[in-house]
Amino acid sequence: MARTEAAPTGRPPSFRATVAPMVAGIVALTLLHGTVRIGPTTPVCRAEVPCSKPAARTALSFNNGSTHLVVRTDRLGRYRLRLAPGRWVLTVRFGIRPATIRFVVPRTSSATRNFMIDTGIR
Amino acid sequence: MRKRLTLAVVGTAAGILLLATVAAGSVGSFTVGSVNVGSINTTQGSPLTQVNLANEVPDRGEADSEIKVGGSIKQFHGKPVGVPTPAGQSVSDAGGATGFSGVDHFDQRTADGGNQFSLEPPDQALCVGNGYVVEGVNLAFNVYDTSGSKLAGPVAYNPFFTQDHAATRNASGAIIARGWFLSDPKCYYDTDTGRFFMTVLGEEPTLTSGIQRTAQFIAVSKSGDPRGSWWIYHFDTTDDGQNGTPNNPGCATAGCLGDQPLIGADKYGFYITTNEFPFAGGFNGAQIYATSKTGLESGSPGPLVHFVTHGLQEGPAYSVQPATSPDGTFDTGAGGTEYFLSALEFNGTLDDRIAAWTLTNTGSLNSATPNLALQYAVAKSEPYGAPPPVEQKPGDNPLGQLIDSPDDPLGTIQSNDDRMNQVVYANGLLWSGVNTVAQTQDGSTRVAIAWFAVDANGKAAGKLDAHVKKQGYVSVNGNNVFFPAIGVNGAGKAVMAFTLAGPNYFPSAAWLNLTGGDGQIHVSGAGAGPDDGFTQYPDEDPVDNGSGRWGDYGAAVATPDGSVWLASEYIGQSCTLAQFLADTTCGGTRTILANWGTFITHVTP
Repeated sequence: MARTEAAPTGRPPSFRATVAPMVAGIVALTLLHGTVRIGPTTPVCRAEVPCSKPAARTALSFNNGSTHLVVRTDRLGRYRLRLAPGRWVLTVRFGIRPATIRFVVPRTSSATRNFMIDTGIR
Repeated sequence: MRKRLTLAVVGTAAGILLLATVAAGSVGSFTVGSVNVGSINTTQGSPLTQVNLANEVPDRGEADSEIKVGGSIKQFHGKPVGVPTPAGQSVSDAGGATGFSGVDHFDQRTADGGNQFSLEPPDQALCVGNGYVVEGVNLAFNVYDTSGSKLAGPVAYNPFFTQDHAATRNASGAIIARGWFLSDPKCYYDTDTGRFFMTVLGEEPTLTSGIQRTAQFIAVSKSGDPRGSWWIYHFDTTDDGQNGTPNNPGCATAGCLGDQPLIGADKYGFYITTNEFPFAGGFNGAQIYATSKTGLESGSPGPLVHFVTHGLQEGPAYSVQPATSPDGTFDTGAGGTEYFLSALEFNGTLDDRIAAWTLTNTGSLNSATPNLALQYAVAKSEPYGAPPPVEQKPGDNPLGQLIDSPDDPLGTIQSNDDRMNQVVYANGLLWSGVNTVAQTQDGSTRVAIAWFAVDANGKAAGKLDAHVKKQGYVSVNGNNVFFPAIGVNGAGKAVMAFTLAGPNYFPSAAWLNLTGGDGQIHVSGAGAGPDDGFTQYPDEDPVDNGSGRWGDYGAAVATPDGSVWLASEYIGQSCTLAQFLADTTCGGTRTILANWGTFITHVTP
């Protein structure tokens, strides 16, 4: 059964996380944070005009095989959550297809990971 | 496991393909105008010699891009689909083909007295007929004779379609006003009637009550000479319930974009399909538009029929490619039939299904009340899947050297995705191809091309069936081939155009005879250096994360003499950093921000 994690101190109110039960044992979690952008936002990219924008209020689904978490970005495309170190898969559905991104959470107190999501606009 | 669905009735059950409006009238209406190519300023201006390289978007550090496919998934018949492992082809010289360099970035940027902007990628349009070769890119076109001599151009698309500039610049070159944001050109010569058709999509320069209005533009030559007068049309694609458009999901919030319009034609109709994206987010699937061909040619357009696809049983329809036919050999059965193909890969992974579509009774487009039937069938195909980025052969990249640290590796080129490319209907078969992930002989994961020749039978309503009659892969060991366009002549001989690039090849224009010949890949336009455009550098364009925009499509067209004309993007220039610093155009071959070029190949299979 999933549960909703309380927003940590300093987290923007728009954040919310749905967390599956954690595995037993003591695991030092890493505070992962960053920005998610989507693009292209236009069929062709113009020089000196942004071709992407923040993925505002977008659901991010994190999975490492045993734990599944869903968080939603804020209006600036920012996210923040705590994950166990190791390999994770982020899935985001925005355009034609879901984007699947594999990444590694380092064994540190915090880490920044920014993600780029393809809209399928061409 | 073929699935059939007849789509002739408004209000079909939810979850199945549907028609928003059909038969009894038009959705939206045409705005009609006229333009003469000879009246357009083809004087080329100067590109800026200095550019503010600081992007409006702050540096966000490294971003993770999407991973590509490995392993296998289950698709048709529930059996596993693995990454293709094609045997590959060898690469040799031009193979007897001739050709010439087409419109490049310098040409388009300096067109219209320089009132243009730098952009990537080019998106090639090509049509050939009546002794003329017309090639368009974002955002200009040239007219050549068949020997490659330029007869007109570069003609900027904005003054051609909108009688305005893409970007009005002041004396110092700064942009002081923007016009319609046009893109994604396509071109078609109708052998049957001797007329040229060109299309682009457009976004209005300013919002209207918070809505970004979008439109589809169509130009039709009034004679067989593309240098003369053209009819100019546009219709609204915002789909927010205004201007006679349907109120599609999400479109009333900020408007919708009819992305990458694809064109086709049969005996009676002219067809455009788009991928509809609400600006507020989401995807509404493919939109299919049909109208009378002769109506457009005469300046009196008939009804515009708009099919809204909210989703197939398999997933959302996207890039539903309409067919063109060489020599005017159309299918006039079932009251006139237009064919389409689309890919059916919905998850960025692998699949072994494609869809064939028919639109029948197209002769009714010449009436006041068209009565069309749209249906599709699923065919099992060879596996294909989401392609990886393209590694480049190292070479001089002066823009990159200025922006990146010397230790940064040369960026990759985007191969986009595995959507269906240009479709040709010839001798009863539908020909097309897609970019696909593949493992080449050396074990490396590269981009290959999966191609198909599809037999679509039983086009009477509810009877459509589709089978892949011929298929295969094009690949080069340890390298990449991508953005295919297949031209098929009236005798059924097929030639494929594509870009060849990788560790051993600068981005080059290449071709392969699919129905004979020596089985080798031939390089007609050899690349001279790596792609060095602004989208390749994260500091300049964070969205592309070190992978330059390429394509997004090539073009191929057969002519009645049996020869085939091909257009592919390539890099036709190279210069060192020292040369670039002395002359940022490197002798008029590039600008500060981009160096893409195009190559037109002529081959007789």
